[in-house]
Amino acid sequence: MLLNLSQQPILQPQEMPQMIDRAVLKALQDATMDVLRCMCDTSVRLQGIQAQHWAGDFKSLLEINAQDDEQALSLSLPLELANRLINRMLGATHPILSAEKRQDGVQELINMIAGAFSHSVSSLPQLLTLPGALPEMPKAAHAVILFFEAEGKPFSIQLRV
Amino acid sequence: MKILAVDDSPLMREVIRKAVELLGYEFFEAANGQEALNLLKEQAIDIVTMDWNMPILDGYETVQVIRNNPTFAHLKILMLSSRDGEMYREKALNAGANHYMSKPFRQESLMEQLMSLERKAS
Repeated sequence: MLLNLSQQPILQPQEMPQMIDRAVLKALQDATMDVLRCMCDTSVRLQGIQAQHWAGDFKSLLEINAQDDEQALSLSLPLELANRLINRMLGATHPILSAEKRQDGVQELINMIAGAFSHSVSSLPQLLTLPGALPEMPKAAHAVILFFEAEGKPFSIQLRV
Repeated sequence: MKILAVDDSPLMREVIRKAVELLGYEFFEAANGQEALNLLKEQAIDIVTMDWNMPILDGYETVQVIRNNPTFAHLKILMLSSRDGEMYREKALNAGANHYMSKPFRQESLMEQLMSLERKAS
């Protein structure tokens, strides 16, 4: 089910008892866009938002996690887009990147997104504390996925809640 | 002007190298704080860009070590970190960093900071 940021409440699918504040998703959206604009000089568009069970991986996509005590973020990029973004970070145009360099670059991007996102949501007192269901749920039970497009290619970022 | 980029990410060191070379400065690199301290003994570095999270010796600890050594009193330190927020900025500055920039940053912003630190160094 794709959800719209303008809907209120933002997320409350039947299998996901807690809500997520609109500002949390906006913070993640802004952090993602800011990092890619700054580091890769590319514009990003939000395509949609979806709630689902946390998925550990996406086949044939590059995925790297940045995790702290409370949250986990997962960035899923098609390899071609990852190559383009990392090349842009380097100001280079050569299309061939080593796997190590690509992995390193995507890890840096997700670290920056996680840092910017954490900073933004630290001022939101209601972060993930709504209707009380969360503490009883097993960790990593649910996730929200934000779908974006950059350079004409789709990518997504998952927030475990 | 000699610039040392300390970051465990080879890619970020390359990003910093681009900015340094555009400014016409000489570039050196280290993958962690310990490597940086070793290199500082060998080269007359003027400015250090320091990542925060690194293995072996992190950026915060490295800044403290540098500031406890009078030999490096002239050194200008630019902390570059994904840790965003006033708390981290204050912590870095209190440890002895001259400036704090959070990642992400634009290349032009990094170049401006390096030029600003160059003016202070000279």
